[in-house]
Amino acid sequence: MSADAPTTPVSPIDEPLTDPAELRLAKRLTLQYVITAQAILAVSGVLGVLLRDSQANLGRLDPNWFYALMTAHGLGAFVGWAGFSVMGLAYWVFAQVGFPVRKLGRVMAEATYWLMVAGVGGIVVSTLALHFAGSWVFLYPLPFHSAGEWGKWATAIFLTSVLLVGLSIVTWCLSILHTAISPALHAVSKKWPNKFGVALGFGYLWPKRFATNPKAVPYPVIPLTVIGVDMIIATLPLAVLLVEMIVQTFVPSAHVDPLLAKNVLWWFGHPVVYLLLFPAVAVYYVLVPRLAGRKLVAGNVITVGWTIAIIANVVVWAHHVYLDYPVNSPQAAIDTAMQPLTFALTIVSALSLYSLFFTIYKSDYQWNAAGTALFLGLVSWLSSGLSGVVNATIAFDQIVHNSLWIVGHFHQMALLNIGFVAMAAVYAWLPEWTGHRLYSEAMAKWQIWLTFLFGTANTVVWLIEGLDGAPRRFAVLPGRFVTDSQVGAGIAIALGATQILFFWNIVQTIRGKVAKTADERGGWRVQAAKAGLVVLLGALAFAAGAAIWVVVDNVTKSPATTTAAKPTPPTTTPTATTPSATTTTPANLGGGDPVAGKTVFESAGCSGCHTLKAAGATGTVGPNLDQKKPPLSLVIDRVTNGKGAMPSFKSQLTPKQIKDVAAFVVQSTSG
Amino acid sequence: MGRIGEIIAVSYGILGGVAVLVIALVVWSSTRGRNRHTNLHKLAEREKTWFGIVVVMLVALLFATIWFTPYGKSQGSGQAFPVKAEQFAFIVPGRVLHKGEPVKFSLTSADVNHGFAVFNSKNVLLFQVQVMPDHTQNYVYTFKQPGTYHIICFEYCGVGHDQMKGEFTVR
Repeated sequence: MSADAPTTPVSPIDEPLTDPAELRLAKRLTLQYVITAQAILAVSGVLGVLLRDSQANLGRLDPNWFYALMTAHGLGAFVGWAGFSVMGLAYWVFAQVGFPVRKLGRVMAEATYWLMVAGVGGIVVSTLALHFAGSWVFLYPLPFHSAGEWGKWATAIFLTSVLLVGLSIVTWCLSILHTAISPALHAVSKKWPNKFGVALGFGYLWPKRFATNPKAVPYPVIPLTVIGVDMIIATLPLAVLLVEMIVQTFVPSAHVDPLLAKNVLWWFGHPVVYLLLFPAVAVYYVLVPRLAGRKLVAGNVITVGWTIAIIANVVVWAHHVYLDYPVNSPQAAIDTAMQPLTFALTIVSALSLYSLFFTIYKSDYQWNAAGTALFLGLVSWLSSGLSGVVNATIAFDQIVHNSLWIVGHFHQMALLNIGFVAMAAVYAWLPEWTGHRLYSEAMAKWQIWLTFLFGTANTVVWLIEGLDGAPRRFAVLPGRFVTDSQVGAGIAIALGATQILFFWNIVQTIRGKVAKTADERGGWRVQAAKAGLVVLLGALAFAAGAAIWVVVDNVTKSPATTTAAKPTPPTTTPTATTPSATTTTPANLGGGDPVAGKTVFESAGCSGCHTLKAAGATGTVGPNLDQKKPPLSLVIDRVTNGKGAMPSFKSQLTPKQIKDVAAFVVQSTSG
Repeated sequence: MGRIGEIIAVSYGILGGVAVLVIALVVWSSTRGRNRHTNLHKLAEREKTWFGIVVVMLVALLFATIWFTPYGKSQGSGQAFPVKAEQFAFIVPGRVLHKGEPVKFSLTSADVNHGFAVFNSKNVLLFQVQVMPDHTQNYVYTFKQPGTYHIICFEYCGVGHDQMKGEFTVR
């Protein structure tokens, strides 16, 4: 087959950059992004393990800490690690197919790096230092209802940081698009809309209109161009919302319709998933054919999939709000349309998986660490893609929505598909970037297999918990999930410990060290010893977890802080209550009846937020009443009028009930 | 686990799991086998057939499931049961509901987004909807069994989220 004729394009063979300066730039940019991203993985991975341990009651975190760490973990692992890794790898993909990063692309790439680093830094400060715990989706208007747990500045710094991350995504898109429409495209027409069409792969479908000479656009360029276009469309509305929210932090009268805000959030929140997937696909398109020693097995139909993806990716946002259909809104109709559109978006994954699996099929595929990681990545992509189809189906989503099933789904997708692409790229290309041999191929293979094993098990536990009705984003899960969570925590610790092998390999390679091969050291014994080492590391991590537990447990039991370790009695039904007994009450209780007040306290939801020993309440959202010992007038005022996160109970409790509950609080805390 | 959960567990967990395993093993073993001859051009051409198969499967799944979307359940009437959600409690009427008669839940929030997930006494999730400030969402449901039903907040709403629970009684 000839690649020369513009009218019959075939998959071209990669022709990497040869110019030393262009190569050097691509190397530097890629290495800079990828190494920073792996450092972010190290931090956010530890946070993830701490969260899972806490849910398993192995080192219980205070609720604010739990949710602040959850916010940092989500953004850090998803955008800061997986996203940032593949954003950097995009530059190396371009280098592998002969597309140099030119001046504007370079400026944008540098801006992207520093905007992302500043954004991640701001997120660390606002969550870990200032306790912002609005979750990484910061669902409007939650950032402004902190229940007294974080302040205005935490909100402002967090939102500004997310805005910086958003801007970094936009500048990255610009640098990607600028690089994609370079002369390396070999587009016959020099008009830029036409060049975009060529870069999007239209030449495979309409060879005359989007002609190239002498060769067709390399497949890896297509997903990069698609996401470059889509993320600009997806990010700009969110940037507007973020600016509004930053203003609202200081001008509380500003307001946005929460339903509109939710749609804008997911308008961005869906495509950002593909900011991870599509560049990862580009890496697959480069590496899998190389490891298989043949061209990508792709028919022109694969570009049909990508053409659908350009559109579908930015019009499927509402599958994240399937369960929002308030009266007098068109949301139900929009949501219904999202199911077929989301299904359409899965076609590009189905076609890519076909092409990649058949590229490996009956080839002399290299089963080295990179090859193994990519293969297991494809397997995980297929598996998590199928659980994604479950989520995309409204009838199923009503059960799995916001359950741990979703957490299982995206951890498999992000860690075992995207993450494996990042790891495979490191193992395959770190030697080229650094000029040093990979420290240990055997260690890399162990890391990949163990990550696959523990990562899959980790996901399976979440999927099962989710189908059993376990909600996501719960610091303390209902009691029946404790055993599942303990199993999950053990697996998460092992998964985390395994990554030490990954970091060690990177550090040693950069230092120019080379491990002896297994044969040099005595074959299987070394393998067994390494397995032992991993188990030992896992055990050490477990011990560290237990030590943290002891410390945290001691701290939380001290009178200075509180804990939500014990399940609290259910809140609610303020109106379904209060037999009022008449007893003689001391004058300093203002005539309230503390016995009746106890019933009010227990039924009106007070124990959801407050700790009060006399009522067995251990809530930690509001002040600890045993410590505060509030005076009668203050209790009556707060219960009647509310303040901050504390709602007013005026409309739910009678004045008599308010007096009673105040009497109960004062009596039970004044001794 | 309810019936929908069981359908998911069987179709995804068992059928999907086996399919993924078989594909992985076939592709892996093909690289180890002796016969490595394969017509790559034909495989690339057959991608069109695969495209067709995927479209047919997706259309089939769409038509098998789209009838079970819950949106119709926001219509209709029944025993009125207005619910106000706020950080971190559900304010529900004190009334006892009757089994066999539709209940019309009307949900709104005083502050942030919440989730309204209803579980029966066996901890099976019966249904869930989102609860938003500035909007009201309805959901009509008929309880067949008497008993105590539990409400759990299913949308992250702040640091007291996991404490946000409630209950009501059906007789």
